[in-house]
Amino acid sequence: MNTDHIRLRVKEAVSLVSGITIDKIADDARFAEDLGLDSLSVIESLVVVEREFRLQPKGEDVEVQIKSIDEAVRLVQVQLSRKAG
Amino acid sequence: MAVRRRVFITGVGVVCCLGDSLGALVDGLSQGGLAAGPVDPQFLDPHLAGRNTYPLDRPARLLTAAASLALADARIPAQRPGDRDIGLFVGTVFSTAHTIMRFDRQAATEGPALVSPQAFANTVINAPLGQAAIWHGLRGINRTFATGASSGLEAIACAGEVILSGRADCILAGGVEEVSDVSMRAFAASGLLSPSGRHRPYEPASDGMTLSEGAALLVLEEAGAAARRGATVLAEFLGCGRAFDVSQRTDERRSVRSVVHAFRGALGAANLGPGRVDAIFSAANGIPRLDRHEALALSAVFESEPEPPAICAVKGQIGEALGAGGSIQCAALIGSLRRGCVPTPLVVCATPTGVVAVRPQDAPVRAGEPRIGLISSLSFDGHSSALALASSSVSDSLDAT
Amino acid sequence: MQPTVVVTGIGLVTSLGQEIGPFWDRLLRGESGISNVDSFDTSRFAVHLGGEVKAFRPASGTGRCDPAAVGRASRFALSAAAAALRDGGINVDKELGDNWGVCVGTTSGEPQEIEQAVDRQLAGDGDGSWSEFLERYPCHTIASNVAVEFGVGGDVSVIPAACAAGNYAITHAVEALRAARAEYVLAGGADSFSRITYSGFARLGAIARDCCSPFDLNRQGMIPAEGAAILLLERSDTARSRGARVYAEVAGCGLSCDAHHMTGGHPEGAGAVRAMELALADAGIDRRDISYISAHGTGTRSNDLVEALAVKRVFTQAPPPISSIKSMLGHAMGAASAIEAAVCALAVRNDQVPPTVNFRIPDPDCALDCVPNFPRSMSVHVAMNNAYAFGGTNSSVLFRKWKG
Repeated sequence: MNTDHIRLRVKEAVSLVSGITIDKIADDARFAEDLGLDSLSVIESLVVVEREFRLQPKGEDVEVQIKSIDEAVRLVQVQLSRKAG
Repeated sequence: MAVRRRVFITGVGVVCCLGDSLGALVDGLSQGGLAAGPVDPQFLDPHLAGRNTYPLDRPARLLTAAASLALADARIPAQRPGDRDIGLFVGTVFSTAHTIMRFDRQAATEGPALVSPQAFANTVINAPLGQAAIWHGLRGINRTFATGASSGLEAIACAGEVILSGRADCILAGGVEEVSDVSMRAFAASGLLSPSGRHRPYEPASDGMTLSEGAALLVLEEAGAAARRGATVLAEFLGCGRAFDVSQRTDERRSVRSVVHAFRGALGAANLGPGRVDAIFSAANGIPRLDRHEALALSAVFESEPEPPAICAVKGQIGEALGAGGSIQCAALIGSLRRGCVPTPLVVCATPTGVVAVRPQDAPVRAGEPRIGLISSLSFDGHSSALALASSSVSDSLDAT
Repeated sequence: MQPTVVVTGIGLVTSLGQEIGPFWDRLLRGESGISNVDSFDTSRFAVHLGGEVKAFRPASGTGRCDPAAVGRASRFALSAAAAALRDGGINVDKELGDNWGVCVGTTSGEPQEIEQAVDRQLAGDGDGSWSEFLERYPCHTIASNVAVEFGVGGDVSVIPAACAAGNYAITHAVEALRAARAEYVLAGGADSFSRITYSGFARLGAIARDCCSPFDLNRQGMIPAEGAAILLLERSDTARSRGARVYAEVAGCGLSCDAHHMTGGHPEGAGAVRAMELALADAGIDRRDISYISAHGTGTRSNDLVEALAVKRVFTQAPPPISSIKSMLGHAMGAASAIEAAVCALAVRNDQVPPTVNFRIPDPDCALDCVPNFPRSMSVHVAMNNAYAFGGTNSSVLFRKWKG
């Protein structure tokens, strides 16, 4: 699955959870600084994406703090490759 | 000696099966329509427009919408930092049980890592209150009440008492309840729901109740604070009474005694004789045993009056909204006091055989404009609450008595 | 002049025991009630610790309420209420009557009833148990069950206020006693261990792997727990006339709402500051007279930070010693602040305060005297019980030494 597709899904999830329209979410947006998201909304957005891709996050995925769209995309990629492998 | 504080009601917000305004509620009741059931989205969504509703589940949406309407009705502007602290008291029975059950099912089937953190935030029973407080910036004293089907009335009663005691000067108070698969299954399995869907309060042949949902909030305000901001007074909070029946409605004598205790408590707190009461918006919901206990209590307290109060069993039309029920009854009474007439009045009295019956207007019923009213709520568990309100037109003359 | 409200009985259900004396000694010794979770399978979680009450031995009551017919939080509340009444020297053979009230705070009520309903659904069992669910699940039943057990005919209510619920229930009771709506109230909190609560906190990354170490630089988080505490509250004149032993006076209560965030505190602790100031004003007590604070102290990074900030904003000169018994018991949810209220009453009566255990490295951002690792004998004139909760809910209740 390519990065652009994952990034779009992450941005859609952030938009759904935060109510920010997707055109206002930059590809490299930082959650707290640029979008004003609290940690609850960040984790909620990740869960939306993880559920969509039918991922099984593990303990270490839950404990890492994700601070930006880029980091979220990387986390999803790691989980996808683990699922595939 | 300090002057006794007084509590005015300066706004009402209601979202229920009959609509999203006091007018719609009273019109619907007067027209005799049956409308128990879910709240139509058209009565809910417009009051939440323009903001992110993702964090709010259905009970939070119902309550937040009722708060929007109540604040607008009281002409209290959106909160700004530095404004006074407004409180929020909310009664509920099931609260977010539907959200909680879905959350747990998800954790059990998909694994605990895939649960929704936002849903988790809503699993605490006070979540609707928290969400509505955040939405409207209500930073004052807050409290969620769980006293079964009397929860909503208890929240209003306690808000009035807290303002009288001087601990707050403005509280939004009422109740919220959603109809969900959780409450439907629980009540259906218990055999309490009316198979015919036409429950008839006070009728021994009634076959049960109909579940309903909604939210109603009153703006209770200390008289001086209301006057300083030029608020319109809709009604005055006079006092309340409450009791608990430890037989849990299994011993008729004790159950009736506890309901009588609640009525007399409200009259005592309001410093009123039973003859002063014009109308009672009662708890009766079509469950014959509870309705009978309430009717016997009404007879005991009011029957000897030459002109007994009109009884309005509004749940015959709008169903049993549990935690929201008492607050919707309060809204309906306030609407009726404003309008100067009550919808579909009944009279409750004991027959020679001791059985309680209800007769329509062929019995003597207090004529003319209702000015003082009671609201009552009974829970299956044993809670009884009663609350006295006066129309704004008489609150000054009451002061002189 | 409003009546004075006093604590004349205490009943406990905790992971460190149910008897007041041994419980207090174990707290002072810094013992832990934390263990691996037994009540459900934690193999799908990265964390496994909890503060379950594993040796629950219900205190005997009247038998009017069948414990087999009620949920676990109700069983805890029934036991704590029975113990509080016995401790307070109240004869329970006769019904207590209309001048008594019951007020119980809770976070989740009876969540195990939901969990069992979900398990039945997933196992394909029919709708057979739903009527039992109606009798056992709605949280108001917790107070009703206590009222039935002891024949309480007055104000009987449950106040769901999440993790500040114990303080909320005590405040509600104090209001009723001051306004003479009741002569005696059984007030406190109860919550049962719940996989719902555990799953939620685990997903938020809020649960500690190894231990709960409030105010420590390397604190890992909170540890969910369960339990109950019920205080017997009455007016001082009735306590005096019946010759009751008084633990402490409940001198003042303050509640506020952040109206900011469902799960996180206000970044500057604004609501927590207001709750403390309201409690001080309600009691007519100067902040310099506070001897000890029982912290909310969950051990999460954000709670302890905001709480320390708020305490330093109120006590600008010299914040009093502040300890968190959650370091030993974990976080018993709606019961927590009721148990901590009991601890405040005991601290005031015994002139001792329990420690914050597991404390190794001070966090410069929450620099407070957290009574690290060892208890302290000191004069405790007034103890402040702070508790905060989901929904942005804040509470402070003050317990003052009773001089009769």
